[in-house]
Amino acid sequence: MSLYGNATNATPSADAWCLYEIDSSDSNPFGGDLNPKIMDGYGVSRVERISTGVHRIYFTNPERFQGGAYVSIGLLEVGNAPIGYGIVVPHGTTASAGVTAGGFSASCDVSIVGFDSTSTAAPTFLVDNSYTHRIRVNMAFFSLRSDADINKMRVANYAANTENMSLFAPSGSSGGTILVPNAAIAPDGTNTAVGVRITSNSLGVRKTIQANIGTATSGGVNGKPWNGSIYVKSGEASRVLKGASANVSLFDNGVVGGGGIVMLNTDTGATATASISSNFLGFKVENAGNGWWRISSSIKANNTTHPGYRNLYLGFIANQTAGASDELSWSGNGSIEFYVWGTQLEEGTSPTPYVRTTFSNPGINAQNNFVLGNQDVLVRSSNSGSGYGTMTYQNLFVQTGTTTPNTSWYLQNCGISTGFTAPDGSTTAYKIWEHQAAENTVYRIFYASSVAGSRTYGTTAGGTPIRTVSFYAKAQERQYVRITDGNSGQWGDLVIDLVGGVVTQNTRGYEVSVTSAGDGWWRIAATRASRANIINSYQDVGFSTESSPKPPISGIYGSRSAGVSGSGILFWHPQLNSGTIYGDYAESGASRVGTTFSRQLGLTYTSALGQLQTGGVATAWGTIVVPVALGNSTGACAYLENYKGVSSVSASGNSTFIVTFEKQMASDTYCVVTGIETQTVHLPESGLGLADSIPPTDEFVLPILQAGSADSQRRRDGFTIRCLRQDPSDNVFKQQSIHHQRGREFRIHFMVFGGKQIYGAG
Amino acid sequence: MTTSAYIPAIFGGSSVKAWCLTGFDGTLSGPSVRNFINGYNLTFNDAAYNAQRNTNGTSDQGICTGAIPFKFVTPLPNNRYKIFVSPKTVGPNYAENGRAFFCHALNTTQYPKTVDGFWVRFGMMTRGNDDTGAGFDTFINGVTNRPAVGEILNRTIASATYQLQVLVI
Repeated sequence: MSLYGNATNATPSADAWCLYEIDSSDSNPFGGDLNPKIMDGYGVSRVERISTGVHRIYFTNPERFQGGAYVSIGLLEVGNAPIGYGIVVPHGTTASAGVTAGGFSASCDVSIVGFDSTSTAAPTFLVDNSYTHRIRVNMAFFSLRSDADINKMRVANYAANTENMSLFAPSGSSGGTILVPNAAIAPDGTNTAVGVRITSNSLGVRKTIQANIGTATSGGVNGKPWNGSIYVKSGEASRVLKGASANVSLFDNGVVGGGGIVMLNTDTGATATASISSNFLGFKVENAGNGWWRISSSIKANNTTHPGYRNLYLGFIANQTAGASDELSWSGNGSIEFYVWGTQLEEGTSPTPYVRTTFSNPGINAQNNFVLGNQDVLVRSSNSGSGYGTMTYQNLFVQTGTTTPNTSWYLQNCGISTGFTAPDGSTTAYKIWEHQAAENTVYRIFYASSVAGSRTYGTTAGGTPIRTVSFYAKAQERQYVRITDGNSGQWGDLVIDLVGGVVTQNTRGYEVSVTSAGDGWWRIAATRASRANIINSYQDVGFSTESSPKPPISGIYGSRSAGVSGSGILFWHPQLNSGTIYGDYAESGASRVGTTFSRQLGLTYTSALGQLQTGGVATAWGTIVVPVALGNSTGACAYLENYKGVSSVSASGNSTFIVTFEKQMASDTYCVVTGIETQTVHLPESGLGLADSIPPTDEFVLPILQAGSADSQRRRDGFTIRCLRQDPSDNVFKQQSIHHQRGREFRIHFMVFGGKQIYGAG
Repeated sequence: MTTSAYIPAIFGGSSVKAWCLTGFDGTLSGPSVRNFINGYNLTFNDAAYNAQRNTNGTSDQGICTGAIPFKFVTPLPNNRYKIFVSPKTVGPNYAENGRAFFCHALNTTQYPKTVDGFWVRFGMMTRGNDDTGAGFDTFINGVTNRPAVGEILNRTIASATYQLQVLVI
């Protein structure tokens, strides 16, 4: 399946989505605060309970939602309470703000209103039901542009002469920098990249492209977010600054120090920020392929008293730290140190497709080259200290802070030594090593997840949730690390080579990421799908006595042979998270602890992390069409139209639509949102209104994620939507929507986020 | 994912054809476009709205029949687009103390879905003893959980305001 659709069926993409579950029965997840539990998500950092039936969803990237100009689409799921139904109603966070929601904290409140379809009782907030009811909220957010001009069809690139930077730029502070036009292949395939050759100068080895924005052109600078972006790439092989950084700075000269510098190592993609001020909204780096990076940063022009005309600077500075002492005298060697291309300065907080501009048309470039779309979330650096990264994810392992075996974890056939240098430079890592002589099959540490009997997220009653185990490991005498799930052995064939940092065995196709943590360390994360009927869950990590993995004989780590005392691997920071995303490590004691999730710059798109699933990109979408029925038929049929990622739909019971995915999902914690489109005509039952008009009490249709069988509405191979319809005869909602649709057509549009289709036919 | 989602973001090809977030003025006589908040290629259709109100009057269903017209700034190539509509409440009371809101797109002869725009219905599930809204009890005829079309527009000057979120894919 293509994730990206095609020209006529383009892939929807959300800026954030989440699936969370209401639960009043988990006695002490976070001090008994009844907060809903995120089952999976993207761009959402946490969900908290505000009051009965009201929850607050916090965005990971608040700058994208500043001002409340976003669209939120929701769908309620009541999987195990057949007489309960409800609807999701988003609510602006700021009670008196009128048209804005969230403010800078950028959160969205959601009310879930429930009612009984069998009576005319008034609806009310759904209470804090037990998780056994499977009351879940599916929400997707589309944060688009923050422009106030409703007729603005295009966005201007306010950086002038970007096709040949040397004509207009540099500004006054760029002396000594030589730009070489048409020096390399640009990201668009043309030979238009500009080479940057740095020479000695008294102002530092920096290059600045300056764009001037005035009120007459833009309709005002104040109060608007602005985004500057540029493509950069490492230069010629003979360059001096190998692995050095290109810096992008975006400042508002109406604010003292108003902006920030984003530093990017063009060889590795590593990033950092400097000189960050309060109006700095965030930055983002995208891997544009072929060595190119697109780096962007956003600020808000928040000096409301500054006279209208001002400058915004989008700069390119060729040394890693602005103001470094050696920048003044450094002169390079005559090689092109970097290539740059595609400078763009625009309203909003995300870089939109680059629009080339010319010198003859500076500052007011034609707004006619492309259409706006929903861009993905900006990535806010984890070190900004704003605390947006706190999630409700927990480290489900306990006693990870001790290296003494205890009731929560224990060693099998191996020893443990402490005091080894960890990735953070401390000596908190430890070594697990094999015993000599004993022909042990297994050398491993058992970690019990402290969730015995307490939670049963999953598709079926008693099933365990999707979980992700993560840890750091480093090769010593042994090269391969193995992971297994102690209760089932289902991870017994997951093997990672700690020298190369690659997966060498993964026959079950688990979601695995292996990320370098430096100095030979790797952070390894593996996600498994939910399983049924597992109460106590153990994860164990171990290694084989063999130098390479071999098919198991009687165990799961390799053939049986004698060990060499002291041989083993280094190990650090084990963690188990619910869902498909692993957080920063949180050391636990006797109780589970919450973890901090910091979305790392660049990883949103660079795809090494399967745990991030598909980000905001929809994994399936389409339209269920219920055609005009004949007569007063009680039968119902449906077909799919304009769809992707799904293979079929079947209608049953006149109100139920079972959608099957094209391929099975890796997890069942995806998010489904729907939109209803109905051909509304006068029906005899209504007794009111004119033919083909909207009767005054015409039926509304309520879609809900629910199946006829309890808790079977959400499966890895598909999902089930039920549609209730208001019956004009007694005005209650009933499950009778379809056969009463005679004479009119009915459509359910849907989008699915997350889950990730990877397996065979659904 | 092994291929990258940023390619369409860089070089165009977005799937969002149009969107808007709009509130309503709430007055019976004037256009409601003044609370338009944000959007792309989609705006409140003042002309169609006023024409409908003039035709149907304002007494029975709040303002008009509860059908709310939207128009594309630039028409779409065909009418096979997907419409996702969601209500949104703003104000001191969440969902106005527990009322359900419903909305959906229309496609009928009187309210067609075309390349130029479409209509949306927006209703509120009301309560029998509710006395907080203008004309409320008359409007619902004592029915307790019937969604009342049009009422939503008439209540924007009450204790809360309401918005529509529309996404066209």
